[in-house]
Amino acid sequence: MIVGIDLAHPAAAPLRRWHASGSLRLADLRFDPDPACIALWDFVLSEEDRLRAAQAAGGFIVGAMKDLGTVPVLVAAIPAARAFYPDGAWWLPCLQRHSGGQLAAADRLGIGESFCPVRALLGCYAAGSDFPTPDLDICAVGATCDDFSAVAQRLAGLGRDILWWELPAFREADPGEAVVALPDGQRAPLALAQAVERELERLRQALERATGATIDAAALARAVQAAETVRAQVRTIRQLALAAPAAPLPAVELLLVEILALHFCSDLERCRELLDRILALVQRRVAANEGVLPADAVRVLWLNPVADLRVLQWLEDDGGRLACTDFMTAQAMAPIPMDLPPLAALARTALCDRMIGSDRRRAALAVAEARTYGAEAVVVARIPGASHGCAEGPAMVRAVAGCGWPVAGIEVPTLADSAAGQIRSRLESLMETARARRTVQP
Amino acid sequence: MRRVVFSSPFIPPEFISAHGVQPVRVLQAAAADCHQGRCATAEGLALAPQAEDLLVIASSCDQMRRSAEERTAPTFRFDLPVTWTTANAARMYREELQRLSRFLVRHGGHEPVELAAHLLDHDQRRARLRAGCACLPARAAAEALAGYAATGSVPSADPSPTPADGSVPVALLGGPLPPAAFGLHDLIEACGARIALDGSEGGERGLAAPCDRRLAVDDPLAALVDCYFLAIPDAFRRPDSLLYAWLERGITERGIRAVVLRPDPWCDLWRAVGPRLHDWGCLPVVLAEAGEESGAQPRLATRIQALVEMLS
Repeated sequence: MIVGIDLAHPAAAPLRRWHASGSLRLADLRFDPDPACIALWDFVLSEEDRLRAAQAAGGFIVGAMKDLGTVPVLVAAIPAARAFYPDGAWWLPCLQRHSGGQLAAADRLGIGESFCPVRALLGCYAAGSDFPTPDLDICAVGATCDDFSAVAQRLAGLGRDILWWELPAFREADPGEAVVALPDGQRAPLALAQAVERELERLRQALERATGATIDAAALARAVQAAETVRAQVRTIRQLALAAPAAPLPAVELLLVEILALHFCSDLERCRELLDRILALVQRRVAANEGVLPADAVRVLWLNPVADLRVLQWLEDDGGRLACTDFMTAQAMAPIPMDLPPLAALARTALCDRMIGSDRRRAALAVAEARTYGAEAVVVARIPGASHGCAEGPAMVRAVAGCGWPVAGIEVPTLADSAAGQIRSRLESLMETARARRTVQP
Repeated sequence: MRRVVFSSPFIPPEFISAHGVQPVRVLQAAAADCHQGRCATAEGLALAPQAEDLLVIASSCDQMRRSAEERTAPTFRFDLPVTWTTANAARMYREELQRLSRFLVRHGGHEPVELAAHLLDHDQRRARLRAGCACLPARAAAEALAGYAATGSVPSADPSPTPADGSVPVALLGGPLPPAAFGLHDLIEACGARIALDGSEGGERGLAAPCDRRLAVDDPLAALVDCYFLAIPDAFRRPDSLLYAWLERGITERGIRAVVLRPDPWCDLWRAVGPRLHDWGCLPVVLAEAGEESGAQPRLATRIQALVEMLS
């Protein structure tokens, strides 16, 4: 078994500069020792530097919010532009162990603890800290969560001129209504796909106006092709990692891989190179049946990203491993249909966003996928203050009713240390229950 | 006649009645102790339909959108666009009306008949309601508005204007104020103020704008888009400028001197309006969280009394 290393280990040396510059939580985490995984961490942590360098060199920076996977593909069609997700600020309070003051700044702006930790982005904008102030903010609203919509509107109230676009709620087709196939195998009403496509066309035009660049069909097709290459790499890594008898990647590293599909960490070329290295690593380990965790680890379906990355490592410490994930990134990993006009294709992948549909649909999709990976238990990681949080757990309980999988709900704050006892007790209990079911059927 | 239950001000009752079914707008909330994180207003709507009723839930917020999921009775989720300044958004609203029409026809309604006449009739009722409410004490006006929401009826005669009483005119802003919470009006009046601008969802803020009569005849759906979708201000809309334009107009016309903001406990959308109002800086703001009218009444009364003392 490959043993994780801490920050003091020589192999983790490239990450120490990030700890020295304020990412204090790194000292509490464990890392996969392979150089490809260390490079993955370094790539994610260095994004803000890349963005600042790009802006200083005259590049156009787009802050895409909430769509998680769609707008960056459009932006990739403009050579001098880069997109990133200010949403990602929700990890900063964890990474910086609250030393960055983002949440306190959001508090001062009246957006307190009753809102999801994504409110940290307000602090970044207000202080001009952590990421460069974008040249254009684009925010998806419609079926997005109220927390985010409220936080983004607060940002607009502070003077940011946000370009809003409508990402409508997913719905089933009405009787007799024309449908289209989505890349994840579902069907959506044609009218819904067309409405999203019209919105993307509006964004395309707005980006042209803002940057002076021409985003023609050929440029879009190239961007879509490049994005699909990244998505395919992420899908392959994820499938191998989740299916392998011995987990070839730790949970946090797998989460980082999924995140790369969202916006390529604002460097598409390096992103592809890095994913190639990770893929080679995973293939090598799977072929050798090498894992980072004991082979009998309980296979867990994990719902929602965690504001504190440490919690995923607690799962591993307590005898679990990821066997399926819904980190709200399904739409960013959905294959982009290459046989459609680019915007129509992007619209269909945007509709694969599980968060825009019902909790029942989301749970059902996650459970269907988890079955293929032999899941044994479910963790619903609730997001503090999230407006959708109260329904996710019950929906998941109903979805797994026929599977016999035990379900645990935990709420993960931005720094979970003070809740460690409660969270770990629940995880331990879940692992024990799942192990017992291997031999004793309910 | 089959009833169609809904709560959103963006669902036109005249559109529903044109299908030969009875629109019933409910403003009630569930008991305040519904489980943590669950919005009492969304829960109240979910509990409102009786057997055979149809339910229409507008997706104006996360909780409403998701509360449509668990229904087994016929339920229509009206996907209300959050954006409103684009042609695409208006088109989506119009298409949702058409989809609602097909739903109603599938569930016992008929194809819309004399939609323009229904539209103009309700436009007249709302005009009478507005005029009447301007003369009524705040609670009586709220009751008249709730009556129109529930049954479509409006007071038959214009009341005589209420004489000025020297109380401080304030605006109420927030989500639905359920009839069970109308005591807030009494509480505010007992403190020496009065709600002169009702910006709750069931209040005048939620009334459709006056209708273009010619457009109503030529293209009733376009008229509905105009007087509902493009006119009603709300906290969920992006951008939210309609809300502040409406508030500013009301402040000017009615001499409003403070805002009482009443968010539901789990409502991020209205809660985030608070700091924005503070930045806006036009008027002092008092936060009166839903439920405070009963449970924490003395505390709320003290705060409103302090506000009145400051303004007197």
